[in-house]
Amino acid sequence: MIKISNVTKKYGEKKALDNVSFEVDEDEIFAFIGHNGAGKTTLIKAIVGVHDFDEGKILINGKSIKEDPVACKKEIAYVPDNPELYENMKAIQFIDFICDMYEVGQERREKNIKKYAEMYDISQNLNDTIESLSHGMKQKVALVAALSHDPKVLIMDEPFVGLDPKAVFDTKEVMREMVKEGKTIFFSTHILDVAEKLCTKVAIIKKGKIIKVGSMKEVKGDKSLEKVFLELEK
Amino acid sequence: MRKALSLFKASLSEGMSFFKISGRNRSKFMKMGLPIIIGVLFMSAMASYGYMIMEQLSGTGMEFVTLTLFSVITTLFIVMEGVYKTSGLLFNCRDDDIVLSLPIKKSTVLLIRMMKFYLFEVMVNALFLAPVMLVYGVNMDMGILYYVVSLLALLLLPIVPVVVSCIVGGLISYFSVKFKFKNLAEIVLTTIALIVVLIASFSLQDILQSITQNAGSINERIASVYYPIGGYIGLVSEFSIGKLVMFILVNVGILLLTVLLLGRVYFKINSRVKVVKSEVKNKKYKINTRKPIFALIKKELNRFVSSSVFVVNAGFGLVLYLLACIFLCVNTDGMMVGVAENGVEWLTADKIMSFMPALMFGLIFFTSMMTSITSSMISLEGKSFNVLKSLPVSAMTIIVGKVLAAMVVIVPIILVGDLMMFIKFDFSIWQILMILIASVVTPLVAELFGIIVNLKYPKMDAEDDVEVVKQSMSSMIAVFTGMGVSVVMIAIIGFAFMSGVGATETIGAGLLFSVGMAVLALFYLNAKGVEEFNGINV
Repeated sequence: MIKISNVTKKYGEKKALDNVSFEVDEDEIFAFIGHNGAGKTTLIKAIVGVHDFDEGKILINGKSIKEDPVACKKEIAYVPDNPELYENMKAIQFIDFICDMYEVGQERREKNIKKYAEMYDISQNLNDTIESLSHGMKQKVALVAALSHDPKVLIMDEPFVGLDPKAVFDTKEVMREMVKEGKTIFFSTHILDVAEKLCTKVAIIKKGKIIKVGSMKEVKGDKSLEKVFLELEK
Repeated sequence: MRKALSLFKASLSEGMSFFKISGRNRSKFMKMGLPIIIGVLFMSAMASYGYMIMEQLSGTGMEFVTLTLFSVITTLFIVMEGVYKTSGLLFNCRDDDIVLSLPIKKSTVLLIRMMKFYLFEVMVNALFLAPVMLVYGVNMDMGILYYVVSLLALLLLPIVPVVVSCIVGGLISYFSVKFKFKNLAEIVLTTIALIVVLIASFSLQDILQSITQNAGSINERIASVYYPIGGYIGLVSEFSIGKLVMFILVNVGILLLTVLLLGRVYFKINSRVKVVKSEVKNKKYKINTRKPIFALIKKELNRFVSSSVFVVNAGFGLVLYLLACIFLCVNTDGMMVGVAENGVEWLTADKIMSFMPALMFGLIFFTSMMTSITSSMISLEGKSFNVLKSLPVSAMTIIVGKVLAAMVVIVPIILVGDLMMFIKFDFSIWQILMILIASVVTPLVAELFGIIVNLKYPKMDAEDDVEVVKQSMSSMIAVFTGMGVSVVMIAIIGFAFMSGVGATETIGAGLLFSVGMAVLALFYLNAKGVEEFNGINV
């Protein structure tokens, strides 16, 4: 579960996040949408403890990311918007490194890496250096690394960018599967169709402020999510 | 021309932003004041050194040899560091995709990249040479023409070493691609090139000796060996418009000729260097489970060996240390015979031999201070720093992982030197023990200081490793401060020697100082370093 209460983040005088509050429950797929520069990545980086914030509270499964960042991060897997991974490492070395950090045992690690690498069709590329991989392949490596440690909370920043259609489908399936297991999924996206079909809850951010949040039905009513979003953006 | 200028401006705004510190706001003092103070201190040291040499030469009326000496040293320095900078500055640059797709000639791209490299070396030249030129001018009461010529020399003297570096570095990059382990081949070839330059610089003493013995034909001699410096000295001693035009034409001509010739093959070499060999498709991958701290150390070592610039930069001091140990083991007996023959009462072979452990401590201290690996480790994370920050380990664990990885590289090499010295010289058990502790503690101090500086001056948006390892504020502060502290330590050891303080006591004091510094640095990292780490936003 993710609980965000009155979070504000300033860059100088400019408020990148302005009193943001909402909750993402267990067994929920939560879409976070907004135009470019609205504050999506800033909030995501604050949730995963990559960036600090000035005011408010962020709790991950009841633990504060500010006060107990390591315990919070143990619950989270983060897939950044741009897969800036360690270019000099082999894909398998990177995944192994992430598993080491989350202290995943050998058996569970082998099982998970095999499962997700086969699912994303990158088993053949695990011995390649990351710098030799395409953007989409790097994104797949980042996803396999994130999923290999069985996170309780999966946070992704525009996870579908650069993925091929099969990988997009597989990612959606994984998300559904994880939710069935009582896990929490939070991701930002510009692909509103996917958000509408996949997510149970949605928040729309504009200039750092949440302008609409609720269940998919509450937010869009009888209209399409795209239409509601465009109306709110006016 | 306008397109080229725009590209040059854009290229400079990225690559030369020394005062740009990533991630957070800094006070003006931290941003510019501290680096300027260190720069001024360094230039003052150069001026004092230059003045001392001039004083020595004043009896012979050959003060201008000081200018020759510093010009030669600066030239060799530029070639040495330029050789391993070339691979990152000219080839396989991060902006290749965008720059090479622009409607600009490939030779223009090469010229712009060489100019960027050249501009940095002009600054290096100014740091080393300008203070000496000024001291010479004031001391010799030179006219305005001297200052004009010297200013011109400051701008023109780096051209040839930059060109030589580009050609040698280009060849190294070109041939290393042929090997399976490209990075290893690049490191080996670069080291060979550096050793060649080093041997050339060792023979500098002989050249200077022959210069002082033959003052009449001095300029002709230098000019015949290396025209750019000879041309400058010629202009200083006897100015003429013809000589000036020749001096400018030769230097600029060499640059243009190189761009013209290298420009023809530049694109070919660059494309070849960019090829990343994929492993043969192999389903069998190896999974290894490690404790987080060991995984972090392994990750850092992996990053270290993946960058030839990083390895050569760090390895240079360590190789020098080993060479110094070999030299001491092989030549000390002969040197002691020389000492015995020179007849200086207070400087006896016995006294030097009994003080050898303290001298060795000085050598270890100097090597450690000059080998700052961690001063680049945060910056080299670049955009992947967010991956690190999102991991479920504390910032201190990550910092410690980086310091330990650096120690894994440095300490074994120092211990090899220690072993050679322990076998050759008759050290007491206490002295051996203290030197062994110093071999761990002094690199620890240097690496803790390096990471503190890098946390204060991170450069997370560098285009290549060279920008971080050689041209970032952090690496420069670490090296210059290390140099300064080493000089002070060596001076104290020298003073202890002359005052008759024993070797064991001298090492003990040095070791206490090092332990104190390490403890202070650890306290600082724990209190402030973690905050600095968390404050870096990419």
